[in-house]
Amino acid sequence: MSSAAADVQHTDDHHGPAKGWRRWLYATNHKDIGTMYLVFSLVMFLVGGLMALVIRSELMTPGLQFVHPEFFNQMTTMHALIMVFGAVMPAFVGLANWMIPMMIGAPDMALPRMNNWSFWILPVAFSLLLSTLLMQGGAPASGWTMYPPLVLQTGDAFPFLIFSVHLMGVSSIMGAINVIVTILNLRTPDMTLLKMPMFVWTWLITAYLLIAVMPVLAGAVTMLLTDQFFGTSFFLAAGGGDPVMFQHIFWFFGHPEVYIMILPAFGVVSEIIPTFARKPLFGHDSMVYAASSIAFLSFIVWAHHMFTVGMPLTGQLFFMFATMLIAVPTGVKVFNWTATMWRGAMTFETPMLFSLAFLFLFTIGGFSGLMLAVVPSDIQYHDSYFVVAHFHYVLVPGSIFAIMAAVYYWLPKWTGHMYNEALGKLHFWLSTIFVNVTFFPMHFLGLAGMPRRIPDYSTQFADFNVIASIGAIGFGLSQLLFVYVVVQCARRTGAEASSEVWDSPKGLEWTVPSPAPYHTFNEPPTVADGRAFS
Amino acid sequence: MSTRATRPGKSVRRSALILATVALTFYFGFILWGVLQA
Repeated sequence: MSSAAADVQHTDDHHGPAKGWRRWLYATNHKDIGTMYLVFSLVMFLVGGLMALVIRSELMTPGLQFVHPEFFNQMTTMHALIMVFGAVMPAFVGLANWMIPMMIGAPDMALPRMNNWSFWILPVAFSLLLSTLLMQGGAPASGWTMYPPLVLQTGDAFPFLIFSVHLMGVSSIMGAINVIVTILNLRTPDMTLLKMPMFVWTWLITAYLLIAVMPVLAGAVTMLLTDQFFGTSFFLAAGGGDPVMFQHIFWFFGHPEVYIMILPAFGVVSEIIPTFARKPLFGHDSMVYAASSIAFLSFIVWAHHMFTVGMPLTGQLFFMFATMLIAVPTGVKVFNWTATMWRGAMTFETPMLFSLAFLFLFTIGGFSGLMLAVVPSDIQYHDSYFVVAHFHYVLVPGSIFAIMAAVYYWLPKWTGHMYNEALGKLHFWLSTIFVNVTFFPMHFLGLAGMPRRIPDYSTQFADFNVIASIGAIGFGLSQLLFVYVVVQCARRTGAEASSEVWDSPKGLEWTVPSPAPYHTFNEPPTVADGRAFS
Repeated sequence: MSTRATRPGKSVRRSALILATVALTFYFGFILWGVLQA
């Protein structure tokens, strides 16, 4: 046995988790921290979802119904910040915490105490952000993009917004450092990089993106802070600054952020489709190169968010063509998933259903993204509901469906019990129908000229808006079913799960018992143990 | 034998420090860039 085995073969695995609140506050176990991340993101998903329902209730019919326009703007801003930084990102970090060590044969994350800190910063950050709803002047209302000079009109909430964004950034950067260090240093010795599962690969790439761009966001909001309180003029035209520079810096962060929220989803789907098609992932290595290409391209397309602010024709052409280029590696992925299913012995359990819906509906979001990449078209679509439809198709049946697929896929491994398959399927069908009822009409609204971020609209937009609002209420209620299914499974009411759970899935996580023991892999396994394919 | 297999503790610390330095460099670098633009 190599000395690696001796290094990781601790003798402290005789104890279980601490009792009571200490287990969670002082948590250093990757499974406990993963659970906390997932529970936190579920709570934030419900809070952000309630805000979406306020928005859709107000927009149900023309005219002002329920809320003051200023509060409506606070809802759009807070909904986006909470969903992006509080729901989607922490959910993927939770999945990473739970699964990456188990998939690479490591006993835990490389930096467990920093892991604890990464998590516990988040509740503080979001408590600060949500507390602004109770302040005089209310919560931030300038949109999640925080463009100056508008954002500088925020009242007492402004420093809270900046500080909470800083805290979210610190949490994400520490989480990303932990993921990279774990993957690069703690893989079981015979797992070469190209033998790693796709979920691990996509998270490795995502973590590099996080380290590259979260400091950029932090730098941008620090400059906003000094403009507001310390007399600088980074973004103030009156003092010689340039407000458009903020947009450039923000989107240099913002576009890679989009891929931060979708690459781990690609990883999840790349794990699930082979299991339920009973075939190896088609083109594993090309998937790695495609994900890397997407990550690289994400750094050179940021100005497609800003075609209407004015830029040289060469700039427009560069950003248009670079953006369209992303369709190539994304197409490689979509066709690889399709080829994985080709002539497979497919079954359609809930994780597979969510993955298939991801494949179709994310692709719709990708196509509308291509339409938005075309400069003359984008100038028409810009700031319309077409954009709202586009990014919700990418984020809801894209990122969030992948998260749900992952939860259904790995929940038996986490709890040791099966979830209720009938209710899981019902949740899938309700979600898939209502997500389309909600967001598909928004394409038509945008093409007809309805602007985004408004509490009232002209009567010609009434029909599609009432359809979208009914869909949103249906989608929101359907998620209560998801909570019920997960809670029932966590209470261990279903049948006991075997260690493999599914029909001969590949990967080291299926070699440990279900539920996964508190400490796993005291001795490094071999890649062949998990019947992984390279 | 690779460093990863023989001395994970040292390699973990070194990787983490490099990544943290990169992150801090980007943070202060972008603010410095903003200062130079003004």
